[in-house]
Amino acid sequence: MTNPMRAEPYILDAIQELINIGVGNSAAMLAQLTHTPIKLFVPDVRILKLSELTREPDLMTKQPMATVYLEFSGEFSGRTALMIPQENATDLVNLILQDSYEAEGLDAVMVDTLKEVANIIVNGVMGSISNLLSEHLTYSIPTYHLTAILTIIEQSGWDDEKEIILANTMFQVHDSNIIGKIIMILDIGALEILVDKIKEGKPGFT
Amino acid sequence: MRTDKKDAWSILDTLPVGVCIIDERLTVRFWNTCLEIWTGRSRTDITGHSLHTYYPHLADFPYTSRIDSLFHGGPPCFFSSQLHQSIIPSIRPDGNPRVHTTTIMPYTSSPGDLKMAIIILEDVTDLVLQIKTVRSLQQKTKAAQDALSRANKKLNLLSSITRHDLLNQVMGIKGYTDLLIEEVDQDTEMSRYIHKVSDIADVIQKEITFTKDYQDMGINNPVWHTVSATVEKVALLFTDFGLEVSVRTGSLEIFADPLLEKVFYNLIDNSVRHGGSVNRITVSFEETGEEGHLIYEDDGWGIPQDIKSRIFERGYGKNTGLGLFLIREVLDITGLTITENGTPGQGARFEILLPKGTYRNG
Repeated sequence: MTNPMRAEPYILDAIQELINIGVGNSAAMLAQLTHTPIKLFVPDVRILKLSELTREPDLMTKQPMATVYLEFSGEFSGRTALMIPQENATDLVNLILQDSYEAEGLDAVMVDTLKEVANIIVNGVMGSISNLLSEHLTYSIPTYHLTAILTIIEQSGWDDEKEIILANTMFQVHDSNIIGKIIMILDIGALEILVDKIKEGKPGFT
Repeated sequence: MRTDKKDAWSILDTLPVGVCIIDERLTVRFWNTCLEIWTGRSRTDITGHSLHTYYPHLADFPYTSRIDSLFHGGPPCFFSSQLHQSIIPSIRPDGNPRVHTTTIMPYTSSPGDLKMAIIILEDVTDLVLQIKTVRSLQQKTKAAQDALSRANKKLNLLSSITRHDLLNQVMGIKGYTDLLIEEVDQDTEMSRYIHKVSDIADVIQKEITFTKDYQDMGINNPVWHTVSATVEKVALLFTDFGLEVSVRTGSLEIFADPLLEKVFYNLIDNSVRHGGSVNRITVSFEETGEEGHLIYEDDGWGIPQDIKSRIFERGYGKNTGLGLFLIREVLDITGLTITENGTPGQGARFEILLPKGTYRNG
């Protein structure tokens, strides 16, 4: 199966814009909810095969990351995760709650908060994509895991040909920058559906 | 509401979580028993009414926006206990507000039915209270540790300055006594007194120097030491004495304070000073059951039976009386104990008992 992304760079731009619209809406909601200045950017997006993901230097680590995970199914199916290094996740939660608790890891209260923040972001991204697709998707309940992406892949038994949309994500909360990743692991054929919808000339993508 | 749906929903009354089913207009379709108990609001009262009527804050943007998106095909929403104490507030019997985490997900019982959403509230009040208590204790512990560390640092600084000044003064005494020894006729009463003053100054100097070792003890975390490397390194300091030092511990490692080198230094120093004509020192290892025994032996005079039990006491001994005391204290930090069980006349034999977990083969 060929990867249409590599031939047509504007598709990548369109996907980046879709994700940025999603995280932008999420940032506005988070800012209002927490009364905290929050901005979210996705400075770069790449599309890889699952087999290529394991060669990414910053994902090769077995260091666990705070991960909130959402599965979706329907015509367009796969799973989306927001992954943040544990230390960054602790900082993010403290910044959002305006707390100065020096935690060694995330306790249940912090996990709760992170789960809501991630839920808002992932829902924003999925909302943006499903608007484009105009398809009904069914979603799982968001779940939290402290895990490494490599561990997820090793335990999944997924086909190496699965397509991954990898979006580096920058949180700006007050004056601090926190980096995470949005990873969308798509079932076979899902990427083509997204690309076809973009090619159909939806507003903003032609 | 159809009877079969009512029956299906009645199972939700048995759950220990709050469950509410709403339609797209936020009209309550079901309100489970748990919510009746928590809120004091009966199912009969609230069913058929909009949630906004009783909980007007749910008409605020962050809620309406997220709930609306869910009714338009969006993913489930999660509301944390910290960003919203509870989306359906209630008071516990102890008078404190109940803290919830809430999940809202789309719910359609059968095709063609109204779009509905199910709200599930989990009471996490006790968990949150426990976590906050633990956090508070951790913060207090950290504050106490920081205060202790600052006090310790100040004490160490004071001790270090005082030691430095005292050693300078002792050096002064030693300098003047050396001059006096040269000036005064030998074999006179005065000469003997001056020698005594000089000897006392030596002891003071050693005792002051000892305080530095004792101060450093336990400051740094214990680490694993390779016994052979440690003993061989220390033995190099005694090359002038022509000792034959044999280490038969293989790759043995022991878990001890970083001052372990000082332990072997003091043992060898003890052999050299008090052992008579010591030529050979052997360090070996034996294991019995789940314990290890690290054995230090010399071929000197040995320790007389009547003083064996006192040699590790502070101040007991012919030199400073601090060397063996320091050994015992350093080893004790990681639970190691030392005894002397040699045969008088056949050399000293110190045995360090290594409990399970304090030794390993590297």
